[in-house]
Amino acid sequence: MQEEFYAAAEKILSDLYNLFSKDPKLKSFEILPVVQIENKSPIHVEEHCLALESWCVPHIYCYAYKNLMNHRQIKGKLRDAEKCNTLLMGALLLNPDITTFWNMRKELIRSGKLDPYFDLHFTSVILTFKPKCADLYAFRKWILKYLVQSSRNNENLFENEIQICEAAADRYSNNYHAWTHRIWCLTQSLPNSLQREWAASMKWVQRHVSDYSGFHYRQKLITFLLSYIDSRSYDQEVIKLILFSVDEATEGFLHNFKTYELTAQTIPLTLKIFVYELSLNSDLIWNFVGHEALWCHRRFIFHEIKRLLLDSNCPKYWGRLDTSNPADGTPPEKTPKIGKHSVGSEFSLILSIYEDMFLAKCSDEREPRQMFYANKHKQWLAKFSKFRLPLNEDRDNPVFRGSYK
Amino acid sequence: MQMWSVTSVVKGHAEHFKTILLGRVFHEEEAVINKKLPKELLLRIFSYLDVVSLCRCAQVSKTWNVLALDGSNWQRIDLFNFQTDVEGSVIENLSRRCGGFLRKLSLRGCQSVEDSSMRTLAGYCINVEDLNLNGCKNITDATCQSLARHCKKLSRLDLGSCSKVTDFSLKTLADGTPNLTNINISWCEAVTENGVEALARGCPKLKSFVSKGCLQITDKAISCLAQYCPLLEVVNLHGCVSVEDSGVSKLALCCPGLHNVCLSGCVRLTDASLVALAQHCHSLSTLEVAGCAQFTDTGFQALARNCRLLEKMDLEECVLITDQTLIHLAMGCPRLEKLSLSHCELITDDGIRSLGTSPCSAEHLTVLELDNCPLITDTSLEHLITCHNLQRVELYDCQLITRAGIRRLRNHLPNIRVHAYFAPVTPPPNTSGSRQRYCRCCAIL
Repeated sequence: MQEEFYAAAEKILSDLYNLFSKDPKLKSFEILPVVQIENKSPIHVEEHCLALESWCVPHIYCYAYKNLMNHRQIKGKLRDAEKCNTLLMGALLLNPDITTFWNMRKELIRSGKLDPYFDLHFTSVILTFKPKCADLYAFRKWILKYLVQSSRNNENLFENEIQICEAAADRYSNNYHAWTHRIWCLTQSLPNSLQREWAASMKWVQRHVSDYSGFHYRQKLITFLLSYIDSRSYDQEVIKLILFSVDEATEGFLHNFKTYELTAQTIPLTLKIFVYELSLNSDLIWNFVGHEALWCHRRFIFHEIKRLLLDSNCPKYWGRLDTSNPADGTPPEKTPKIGKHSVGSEFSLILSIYEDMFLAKCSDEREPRQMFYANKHKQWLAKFSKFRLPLNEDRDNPVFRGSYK
Repeated sequence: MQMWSVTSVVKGHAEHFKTILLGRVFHEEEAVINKKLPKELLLRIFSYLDVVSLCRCAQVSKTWNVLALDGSNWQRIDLFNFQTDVEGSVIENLSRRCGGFLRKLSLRGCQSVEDSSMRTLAGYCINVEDLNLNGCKNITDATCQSLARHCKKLSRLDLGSCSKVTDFSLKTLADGTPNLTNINISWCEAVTENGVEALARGCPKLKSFVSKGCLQITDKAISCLAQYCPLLEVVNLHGCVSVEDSGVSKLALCCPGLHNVCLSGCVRLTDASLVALAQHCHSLSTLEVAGCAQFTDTGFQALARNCRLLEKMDLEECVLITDQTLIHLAMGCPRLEKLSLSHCELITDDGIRSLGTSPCSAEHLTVLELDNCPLITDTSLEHLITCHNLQRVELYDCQLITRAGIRRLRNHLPNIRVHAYFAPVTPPPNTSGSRQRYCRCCAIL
């Protein structure tokens, strides 16, 4: 009886193959939970959305799997590429987690029997069904590398890929694989994509406040941005919008601390980026109460700020405010410690005041979750990062004494 | 030493063979087989071997190399299984070895074959009669030109999917190969009516003309074929959408020997074509008219009355036909073996009944395709019980067919393959396990 169905399975598989080759607009795949009653094709296509009825899934998969395993025994030249392709499509559509089958597809592509663009489409459809399939992303990465070796318009390729990642992340929260793939795509299209991704990831994190994978992506993005700025040959035009928004945020941040000598112009660009990120994060925490991912991201921000403040590699950012001591001609490389009157010290002071105010605001009795995270954050700050909260110790600091009320 | 490397596998075997042989005897002159058998006999033995075995033998010893690679062993060569390995140099070595001996060569799917090596082949192997170049996408008009110049005996040529081939090829072939009987120019999309006309004028012995998917082939081309090639027996115009009734009528009128006709996808054809075929081509045995949606019962009635030798008919998507067609076919075509009625949505159980009750077709009918005929019910299957020879029935998407109906049919015809979407039923759980009401430990206790 099982063998009886094989002819039908073959027909269904070839129908699926034809659908994919005839309709390049096909956008999604789904399995419908249906119990079979009639002698009716299990394939449904509605407005470029493909669906398969569930009753046939095990049979088709068994058929495809068995045949493919037999097929692998046949020595290379006698293989029927088209049949192999049809079987592979069926098997991978239903279960994309088999590395062997993806490798067989790679073989087909490499021998010129399969169009890599066709597979980009095919896999994008599978992604709507299983958006969290690591093998699939690995395969796409392989295809893209393969195409980059041979083709011209790579920019478009990665832009498209990033959109697909976004769709996959939308379908499955905390989709680590999709975001990792997106990071890879980002590295392939640097630096042109920086600005676009900056805006896109901001939008994303604003809408998905508890998806840490999205935040992780943003952290990577910021790292890339910093290293791009560090490369010193950077083009202002490429990141114009980022610079603009960052400046604006810094002005806003410093608005409450007017009594200090610090202005937006004296703060180095890299630090401004984190000021921007910090105010964004504060807004989100304030608006969306009790999401751990937000607090984790805040830790990243503080960690990075601290690193920047201590970073001896970029002394040019830390020109002293106190110019009364010009004899000290030695560059500050040798003094990674934050000088008392440097921009760094002043900034860290402002930051600790800001953070203290923020945490106080968050410690609301009515929101135990938020309070819990705020306390945790406070502890973390005290322990790992040496930002001293001014209320406790720094009262004798002259700069501080003049302002905070 | 080796003529060409067909596959590394072959080589491996030969090495093995060689070591065994040379291990036993030091000099090949002393080898028993060479002593006992004269060269002529060895040659004769080799002539029965296939390509792979010959290549293996050629690596055994110098004597055998000469014998195995003798052109007389290489009259018919099919390199389809080695298509990816076949490069230009292979063809050139092959043509030098075979020379005038080569009669038949198949290079189907050997995509890396190019004009230059084909030119060498044409120069050396002037006696080639049957050449299959299907899927050799790189060859152009130059190949056909050299073939036409040298290979006067060429009678069968397959140029399917050689998309660079144009009218010019057909013109040179028409001038150079008057003995051509079979030609296949499927998917050579550059070919137009001019090329076909020239071919028809130059090759009056043409028996088989296959041009699937040649969109530029028109009525005029078909008329010319009909006019100059009266011996035509096989015509395949699958997907030649611009063909019309007048061309097919003329073809039927001039070529009474037609027995295999494919007009699938020629959407402009009407009953007039069928009537013409019915009037003139009484030996028609295969007719494929899938997708000719204008054909009606009238046309098939005429056909069934006159073409009593029909064996295979593909009527897929002839959406206008009704049970009447089946009644006429059942009466008029006793040899019917294979009948496809896919997507003929007006067919009902009555039509199938007449098919099932016609005694002769019941004797021969082996394949019946009824997929997507929504009016077919289990009753149809009961009518088919009398068709003893029936091997396959397609019932995909016939939504009135039930499992029970198929089971009944299978009870009567145990060897039949019924293709439907019914998934295999999982066997019911073993009911003999009633004693397992208690778990094992309780039973022990």
